[in-house]
Amino acid sequence: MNSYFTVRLLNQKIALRLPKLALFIFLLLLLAIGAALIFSLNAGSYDLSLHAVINILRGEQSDEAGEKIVWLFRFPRSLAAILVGMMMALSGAALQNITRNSLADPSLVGISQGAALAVVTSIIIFPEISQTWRPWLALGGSLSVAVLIQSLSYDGKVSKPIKFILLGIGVSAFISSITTAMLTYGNIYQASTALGWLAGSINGANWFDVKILSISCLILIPFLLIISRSMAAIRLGEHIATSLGTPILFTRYALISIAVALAAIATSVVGPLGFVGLIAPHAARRLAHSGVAVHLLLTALIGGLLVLIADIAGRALFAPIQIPAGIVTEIIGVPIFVYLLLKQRAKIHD
Amino acid sequence: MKLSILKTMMITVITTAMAISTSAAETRIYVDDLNRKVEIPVNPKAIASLHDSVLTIPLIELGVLPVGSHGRVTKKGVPFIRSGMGLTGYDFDNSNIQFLGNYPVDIEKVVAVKPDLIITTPWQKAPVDQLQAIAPTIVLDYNKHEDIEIFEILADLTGNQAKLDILKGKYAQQIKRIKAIIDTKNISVNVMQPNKGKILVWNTYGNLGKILRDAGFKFPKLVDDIAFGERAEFSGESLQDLDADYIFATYRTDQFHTPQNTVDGFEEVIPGFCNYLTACKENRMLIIPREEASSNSFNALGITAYNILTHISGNPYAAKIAK
Repeated sequence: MNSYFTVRLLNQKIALRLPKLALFIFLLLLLAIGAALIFSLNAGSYDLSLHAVINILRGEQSDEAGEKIVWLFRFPRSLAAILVGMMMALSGAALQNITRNSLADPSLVGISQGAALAVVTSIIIFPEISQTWRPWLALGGSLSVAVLIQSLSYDGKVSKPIKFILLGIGVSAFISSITTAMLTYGNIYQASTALGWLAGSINGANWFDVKILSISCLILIPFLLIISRSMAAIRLGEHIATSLGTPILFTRYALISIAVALAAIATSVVGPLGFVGLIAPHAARRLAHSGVAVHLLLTALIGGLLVLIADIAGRALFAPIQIPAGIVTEIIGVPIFVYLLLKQRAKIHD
Repeated sequence: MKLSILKTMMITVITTAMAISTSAAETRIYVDDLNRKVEIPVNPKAIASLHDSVLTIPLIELGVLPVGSHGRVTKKGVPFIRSGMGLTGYDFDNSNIQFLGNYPVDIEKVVAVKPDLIITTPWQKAPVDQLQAIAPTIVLDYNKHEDIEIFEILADLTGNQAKLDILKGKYAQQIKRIKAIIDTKNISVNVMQPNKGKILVWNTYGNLGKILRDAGFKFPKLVDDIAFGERAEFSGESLQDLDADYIFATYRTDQFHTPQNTVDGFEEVIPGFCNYLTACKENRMLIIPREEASSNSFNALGITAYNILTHISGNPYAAKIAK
């Protein structure tokens, strides 16, 4: 049985061979996200029946408190969780591709650390700065560190992946030590506020955040899909990619820029969310073998689903105690990271 | 005659109803610590307090029971208001105060208690925009205010200035009594806290520090050099420079610690720490519960003031200095 669909468009100018299993899993993931979204709109400490939620969504009469809860809190929060998960996951996938290292994720290139340094500095050293500036500071911090690492790893003509990774680890460690020093010696209450932000949480997401995240996804994800062919060539190694006519330098810069932008924007909205960028690409590979573009789509959906589930678990399992989604993703992510590390070591020894 | 009685009754009923509706809708503009202008009710009836020890305890002492409060959770998962039972007699399980969660509070729980005023702090992670969508929200930054100022602001917000004046009068009397019995100007004191092998010292540590400063006790130079509201960390080498006639330390009652935990902490700073502190060697070191020593509470001030009075005035050393 043929395990591929072949799609030919525009008089065969575009021809796609899509694996059936991957498409099936894509649909399943879409359904799972839909189901989790409905559950998310219905779950919480304020008691609302599914019927009441549907009435509120349809604009029919309901109690004012219920309307506030669904429209102002649960809905934007759930959508933000999905979008942030997709962005972190795709950032991880792009970085894994460019570095050809399956353990790469946004924290490797100092994105989370840059955001953390900027926000912790504002909380501890400049407490007079309003908290409404935090997302912008986080974005600025992330981008500054990413640009710094990128420019340091550039040696005239090319930016070597191994140099990029090593510099990323070094600069990130340096930045983290400054952040830790501030948390240790800063005012205890301010340090506590900073730690809260560092835990990464979606509880504050609003419609404006959803708008920013949606626009970012609409711009960046198609661009990532467009260069997926070059990504596939790069996976085979630099020499083969060059012989296939892939513009290596352009692809590399484009990938790093997209990866940084995706993670920086997501981090600026919800704080650092660990391990999503690591887990989602691996899970997508395990679920179905596919080309890069389909793999990216699966990765995005898995990331969205993972963060949405983490957010639901964090807010509903022990309500009214709220556990930040960042902590839930780390609880899931750390064992998977250790497993991958051990697996990679075993491969090297083989 | 009957008609005029009926008329009078009707006018009275209408006037009362109008007065009630006017007072219910009456609002004023308040500028909070984030410089936000917030329209708040003049007489809030349902306050949600988003910090237990900083806001809920003072509110209760001012005679206002919030409809909901931030709180903590024991290891067994039971919610409580920090220092609530010990200082005010109120907690979640014996009052109508609803537990709203911790850090951040559960925003849906806040909606459920239908507050007409929310008071929060910059520490609380629940976003102000979200809270403001539920009810008028005041952000009170405790880093910008002394404890007593927090009381003054809360009294203003809730219309309880008269009650605050009574509490202040009681405290002034307690300080007057300490000064009358103890020669505070000639006695040095210090408050220390062992922390991970180091000693933490504040310029003015909570209630305990406030009473000691208000009563006129002397502090070591190292402590006076710390800016007001700040703390400093010292190694065991500085122990002798931190020595004083009377040394106070605290232990955490909310975590079921005992004075022995604090002694163990000092031993971690330097083994045999007592040999380096005259106050300890000569039995003038007091380890008291942190709940009363640090809470923002007039009840705690009273208890701590009494502790200081009895422990120092009752010690022959103080009598010797007085001579």
